[in-house]
Amino acid sequence: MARQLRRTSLVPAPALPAIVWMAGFFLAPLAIVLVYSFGYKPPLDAGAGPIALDRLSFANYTDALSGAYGSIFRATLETALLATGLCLLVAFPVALVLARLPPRWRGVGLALVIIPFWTSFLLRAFAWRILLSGNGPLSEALLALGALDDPLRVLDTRGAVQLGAVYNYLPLMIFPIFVALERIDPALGDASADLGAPVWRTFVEVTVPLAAPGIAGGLFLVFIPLAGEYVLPAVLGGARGLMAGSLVASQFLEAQNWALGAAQAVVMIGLIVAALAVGSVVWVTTSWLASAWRRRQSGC
Amino acid sequence: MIGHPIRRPAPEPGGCRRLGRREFLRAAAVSLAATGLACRATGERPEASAGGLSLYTWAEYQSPENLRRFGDRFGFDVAVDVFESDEALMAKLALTGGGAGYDLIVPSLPYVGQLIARNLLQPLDYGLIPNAVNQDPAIVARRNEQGGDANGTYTVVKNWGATGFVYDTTVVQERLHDWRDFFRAAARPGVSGRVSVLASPADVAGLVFWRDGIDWRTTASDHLDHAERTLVTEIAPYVAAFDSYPAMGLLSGSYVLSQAWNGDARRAIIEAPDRLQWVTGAPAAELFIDTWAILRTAPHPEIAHAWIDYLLQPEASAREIAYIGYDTGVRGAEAHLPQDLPERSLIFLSEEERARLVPGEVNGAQDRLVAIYNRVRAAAALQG
Repeated sequence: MARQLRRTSLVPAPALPAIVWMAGFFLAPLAIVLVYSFGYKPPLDAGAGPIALDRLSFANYTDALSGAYGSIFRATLETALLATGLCLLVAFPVALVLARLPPRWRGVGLALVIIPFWTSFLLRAFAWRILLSGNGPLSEALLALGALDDPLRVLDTRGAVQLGAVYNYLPLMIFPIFVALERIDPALGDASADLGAPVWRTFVEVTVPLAAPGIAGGLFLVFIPLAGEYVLPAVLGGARGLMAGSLVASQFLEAQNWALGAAQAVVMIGLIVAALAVGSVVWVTTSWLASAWRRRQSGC
Repeated sequence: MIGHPIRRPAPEPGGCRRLGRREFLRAAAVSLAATGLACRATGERPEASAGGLSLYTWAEYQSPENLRRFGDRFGFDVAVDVFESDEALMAKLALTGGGAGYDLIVPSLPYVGQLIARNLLQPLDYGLIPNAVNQDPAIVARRNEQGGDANGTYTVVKNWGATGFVYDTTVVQERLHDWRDFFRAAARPGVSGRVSVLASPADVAGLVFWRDGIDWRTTASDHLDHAERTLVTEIAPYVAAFDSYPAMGLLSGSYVLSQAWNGDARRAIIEAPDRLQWVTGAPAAELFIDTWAILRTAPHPEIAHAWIDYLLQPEASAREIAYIGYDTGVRGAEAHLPQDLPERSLIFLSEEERARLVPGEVNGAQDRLVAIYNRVRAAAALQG
């Protein structure tokens, strides 16, 4: 009887604090944002506060999804997806090397990845501004080497945001993949080699599938905050690097139009969820196809 | 493309380079906004400054020397907290129910009317401000003409400035004179993509209104439509950044044509006087007037009055001018300025330049101006 209860109980007692916390500080604010998104900005002289909710409408959504803003959402998703992909490409080899280091050196390697992460995010973004500026060290070095004819002009572009994103989010991709790779028993690789698989095949059919949970974790950790990124476009993006996060921020901080800002935020959350849903479907389909293919291979 | 070597900025005359307003502001604005801690961080201030005077103002907008001297006189530290736009100031006051524990705030004149309407300010006691007689009648007249606080019941002019633009003469070879030239130059190869405009909705729309002889306080929808169309086609394709403090960008060569306020333009020009050229907007441009106002909830109203009075002394006012690079409109201050103060003509604009300036207004067009601004930003982002 007691066992039965424990199994069917939906809210295990130890999880209660977390559930209360999430409900109070995540779900409730989210609900408020959702409600606000149907309100409107009261006239300035009304002195009523930043939002009016006596008439609810979809007007903010029409505005948020209209031409110019709509394209910013698309550009934001593109930037986030590309930077997440680049992060994965750079992080995987790093994680692999870290995982294969002798344990004594592994700590040192991890520290090298972590220590820059202790510096303020903002400062790291600013550091790129100095590095990439037209009269900065990188530009002058390239000019001196003759690799460039004119000073570097990367700042204030989408490319600069992408570069900053890959740099700043890299550790978030490295760690989960490293953890997954570290847990792989080296014997599995040896077994694969003993059975005649070349190195690349061991990598593709043993290492990568076993690291898959880490890769998925890394993709989530990088993509979600990056899609809402606000600091990097503000510091590195100039007029060209605008992302949806800056649009939302400007509605709240500059325009004082909380209603439109809330609608833009809801659209952004919706897009991120949709992107993750599509990503998950692709992921599941790919792994299913891959395992089907492997089964057929071994069947031959 | 441009083959000119980009020179390193020369060190500022007079010794140490201080953190520019722009770098500071950006860091402050971004970090506060990004972490969402803006309210919390400053909400803790009242206790911290319980004994002294607390200012809520723009970054790098008062002489540290004056802060120190005034604090020494009363035996406390003057606490300074910063906001990055009038809208942010209004939001903070709305969210905190009008107080937040500050004594003095520095609203721009167009917002003063709203502050008064919301009953957030207390009338000044001019008996405590004997130095008010030092105010230049000319700037007081401009303040009164704007109408937000027509008799100075609630505010004293802190300083004023104008909108114009800076261009890099090594890239833009011919002389530019007005906003029409600004638009033309922006589209040119070598300049395009290296243009900055102010991160301020009214000033960006102002580019079109000032150029085309339209009163920039307009609320007519055909004027606003015209501004939006013009900005999307004639500014968005060429703009590198929406940046209210373009000095660093101008010095590093990221920008070669920047809309700017005269005091901030001066900061850049001091460091590269042979390369950068200032133009006060023409045929019309913004006259901004920033003011000192005492909050109704101010914990230390008497010391707040004393602070305003202190800054209206010519010697103290001269220190303000030398530090911020804007004219305070205090008679006799100019005589106390350092002899070698560079680029004076950017602080004290000529009669002819002043005559072109028009004070702004917060009116029914405000939301539309912000919408236009965001559309121009979106259009600019899609160019890259």
